[in-house]
Amino acid sequence: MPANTGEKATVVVTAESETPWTSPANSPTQATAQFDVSFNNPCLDTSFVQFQGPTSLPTLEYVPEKGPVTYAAVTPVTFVTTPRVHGLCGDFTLTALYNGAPVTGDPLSYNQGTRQFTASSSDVALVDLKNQQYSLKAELDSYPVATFSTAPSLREDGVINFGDACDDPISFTSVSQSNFDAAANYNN
Amino acid sequence: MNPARCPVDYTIVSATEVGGASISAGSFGTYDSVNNKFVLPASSARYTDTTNGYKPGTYTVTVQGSVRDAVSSTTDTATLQITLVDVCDPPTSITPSSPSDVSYTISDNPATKVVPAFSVEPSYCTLSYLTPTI
Repeated sequence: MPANTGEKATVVVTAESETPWTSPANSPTQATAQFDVSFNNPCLDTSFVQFQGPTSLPTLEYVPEKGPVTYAAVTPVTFVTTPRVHGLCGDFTLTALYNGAPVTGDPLSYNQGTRQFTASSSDVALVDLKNQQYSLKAELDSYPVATFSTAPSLREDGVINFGDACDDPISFTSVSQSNFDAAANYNN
Repeated sequence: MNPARCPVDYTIVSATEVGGASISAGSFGTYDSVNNKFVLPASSARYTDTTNGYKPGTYTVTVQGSVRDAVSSTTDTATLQITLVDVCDPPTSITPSSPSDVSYTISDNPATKVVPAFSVEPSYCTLSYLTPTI
């Protein structure tokens, strides 16, 4: 598969004179014309290859310090070729992002097998942060968009809102208090 | 002929392709007695019609002269060879067309490229197109 469009081949068309009386002609004359055929790479044209996946990602809600939460599976990402099914473009990589960077597990991770995001963090800096972006990005391994601007890619974004565990404490239990003699300690 | 002034009529009595078969003398042509010229009907159809036309080649033609006013038939014959040249072998010229360049995306449906016909002179000559090379 050519890396770029425009690989060319020259086609030479030859016509030869004939005569209705003698076949082949005793002195055939030939003339030629030629034209170029440019072969384009389908992996760089979204008319021929596309990613299909979730049209949007759901809004996630997570309260730090409350342990891991795994959300519903997202729609699978597939690579579709038209009009023919082929594997000319190779494999693709699916990357989950949190605020534009690959997820690290805190506060988000993504399981490609189950297609599920999991939020888990004890970082109090996240408390009450709203509309934090998370994403799924797909690109062909051989044709990253950074290098091949016309290559297909997919990126779907969603947001995650963080709550405050204090709004709904994990536990709130009184501790036993020791009595004290008020009179004895009363300061006259 | 003596006297030389006596008018003579000429007719083609036979025409035979050298190494080939005889053809109808009448269809082969006529002899213009006035101008002493052998006349072949000039028509491209005479070339392209392989059934009734003139096959290129060399013909032995027998022309018979008859003294027009002779009381008794006074004739004599002469033979000559006429070569009909195959005007399309080779033709005067072939002018190729100028096909435009095309692009094709690998894996797309089959695409057809029509190459404009070449022109040939004389126009009634025909061309065959060889398998294109890449």
